[in-house]
Amino acid sequence: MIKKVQSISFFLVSLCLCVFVSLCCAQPVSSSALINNAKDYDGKLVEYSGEVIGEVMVRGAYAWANVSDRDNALGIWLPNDLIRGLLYAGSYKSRGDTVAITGIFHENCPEHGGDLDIHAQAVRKISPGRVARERINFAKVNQVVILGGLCLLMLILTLFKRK
Amino acid sequence: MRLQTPLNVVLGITIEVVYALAIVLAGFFIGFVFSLR
Amino acid sequence: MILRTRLEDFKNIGYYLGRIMIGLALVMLVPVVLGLAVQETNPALDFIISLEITLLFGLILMKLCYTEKDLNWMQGMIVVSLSWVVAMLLGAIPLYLSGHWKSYLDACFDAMSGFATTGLTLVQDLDHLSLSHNLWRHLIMFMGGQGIVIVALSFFVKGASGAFKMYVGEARDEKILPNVIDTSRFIWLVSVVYLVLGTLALGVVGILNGMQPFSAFFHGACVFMAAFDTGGFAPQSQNILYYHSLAYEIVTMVIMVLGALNFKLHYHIWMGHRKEIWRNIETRAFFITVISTFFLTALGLRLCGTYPEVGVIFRKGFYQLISGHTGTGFMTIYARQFINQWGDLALASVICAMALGGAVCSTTGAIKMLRIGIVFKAMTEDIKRIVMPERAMVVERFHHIKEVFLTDKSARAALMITLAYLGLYGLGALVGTYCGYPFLQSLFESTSAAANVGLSCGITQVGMPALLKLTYIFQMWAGRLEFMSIFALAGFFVAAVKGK
Repeated sequence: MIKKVQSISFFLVSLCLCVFVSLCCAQPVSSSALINNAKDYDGKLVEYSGEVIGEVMVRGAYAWANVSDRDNALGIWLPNDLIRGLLYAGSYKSRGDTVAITGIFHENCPEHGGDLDIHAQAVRKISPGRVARERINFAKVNQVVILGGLCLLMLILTLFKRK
Repeated sequence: MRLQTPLNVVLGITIEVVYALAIVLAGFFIGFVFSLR
Repeated sequence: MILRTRLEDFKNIGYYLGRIMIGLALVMLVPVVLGLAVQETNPALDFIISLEITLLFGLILMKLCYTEKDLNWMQGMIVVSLSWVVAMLLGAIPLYLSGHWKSYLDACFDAMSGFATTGLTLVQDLDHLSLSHNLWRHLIMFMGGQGIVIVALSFFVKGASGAFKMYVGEARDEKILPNVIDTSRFIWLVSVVYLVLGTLALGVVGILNGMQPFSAFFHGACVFMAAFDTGGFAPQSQNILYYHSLAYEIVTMVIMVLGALNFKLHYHIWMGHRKEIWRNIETRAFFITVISTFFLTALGLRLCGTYPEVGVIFRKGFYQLISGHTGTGFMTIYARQFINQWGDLALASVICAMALGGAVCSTTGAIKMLRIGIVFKAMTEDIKRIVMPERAMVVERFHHIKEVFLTDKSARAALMITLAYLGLYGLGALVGTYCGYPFLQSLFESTSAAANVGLSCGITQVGMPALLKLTYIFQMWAGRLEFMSIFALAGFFVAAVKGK
């Protein structure tokens, strides 16, 4: 009986702790939500996740990383020790690291000339990026050859008639 | 087309850039005035 | 009495269109070379396919319509208006093949936006677009800013008088040098000199900002082309906000203003007549209108409590304003922020700035400064006539390279084009409102399209109604060509149907 009461109370306490912790911690937000409701999130701790795109631009002790969640890309200002794990940035030839950023959101950051940005406090890599190997589209190669043939034909016709 | 002297071109580019910077500065000044109040 | 169109007209038009298409095909070689160099095989294939299609059409037209006659005015204007449509259709092919545009219409939208140096875009996932496709987007702005026909004129066209008619049809009615082909080549010289200087400046700033050398200079070249040709495309989805750099913003502001200057002014200043920079009616008018519109914008922002710090009002308020006034369209804010933060007065001031534009015979769009100056002088003259004694002779003059007397003819021409632009802005606003968007936002986006600016308040996106996409395409085209060539094309169709 006592053991049952103990286990139930342990369960209830753990539940309360989880709820409390999740309320304190940042809720993941999309870029569209951040941009459209910027006033509500201004100055607050947020969690934002997406793919690092372009390149990480190091400026002294800090760096800029632009992170995209397919709808928009947001600028993340991070201290250099947080960028160590970021190896890949998205482009035509690569998929960037997918990261979850926790930091303070600014609608018009006074430190950065009014940029809409997040000053990161923690970075968690969700999945690593990779080099995207290109698969040649052979249908396109066929089109190139056929059209090339037609062009050559036209060129010959043009030159032939002129003579 | 007669070639312009290189010096004229350099001075010309300089004065155009100065004109552009003057506009930029004027913009900054107006922004400064409005940020004072 | 309208004269009926003859086969000769079709042949002449077709032949020159064919030549311009060949020119376009040759330019497509540039992204092919880049694609092969950086091992972007599928993009290179896209451009080879597009090149072949363009070449094929060009060769067919030149063969079918072969003629040795020169163009008359109507034919010249029609070649110009049709070249722009054709360039859009052919220039959209590589974009569509990339898979980054949801439909061919969207690709055509971006192609017209590029050639007309507007900058509104419907691209998907720009951050993963290949370098070749990105280069093409910026290259078409470079070509469009100079003038597609000018590209052809510089290298391909033999007959000078036909060339001049096309030159005028492409909204370049300022004769810089006696020979129009020399004029085209001078325009290229200015652009190339600034391309080298601008790419260098932006590349260096990029490297200092933490970019890798290759991407710093690639971005530098692309951003220069979009800035000098007052286009507004950028290599990344965040536009200029991607760089998070005051230095980048200042350099681009300078390049935007340089691009908004009359090429004739560049010529005279580079020839040594340096005083022209402050005596010219256009440079004076531009300075005054930038100050006035920014004053109103800053006031509007202040009333909303937006951007209270000087650094922020400069980098966000002034940047968007100068970008709009020069017709570039670079943005350092997200589109929706215009609606969420700017307030109606600031938005209306930006609309005014966009509506005015830069100098005539520059890469800008909109009404343009010479006309604004002339209209203002005409009003001053009329007011003086009323105020002064009846027998007094009132004559207004202005300085544009040389002293020019204001004539009724020039005042009328300026006013007609001004009215045409205002009508075009209104038309797009009405269509936008019909599609369900609020009026001020519709007016903003419509002015942005018709004045070839490219600032967006969020209306331009993939889900936009097709009617609105087509409207903006029409506005970008008509605005860029300053109406005359469009009227000529309409007149041609009327003549084909009704003429005797």
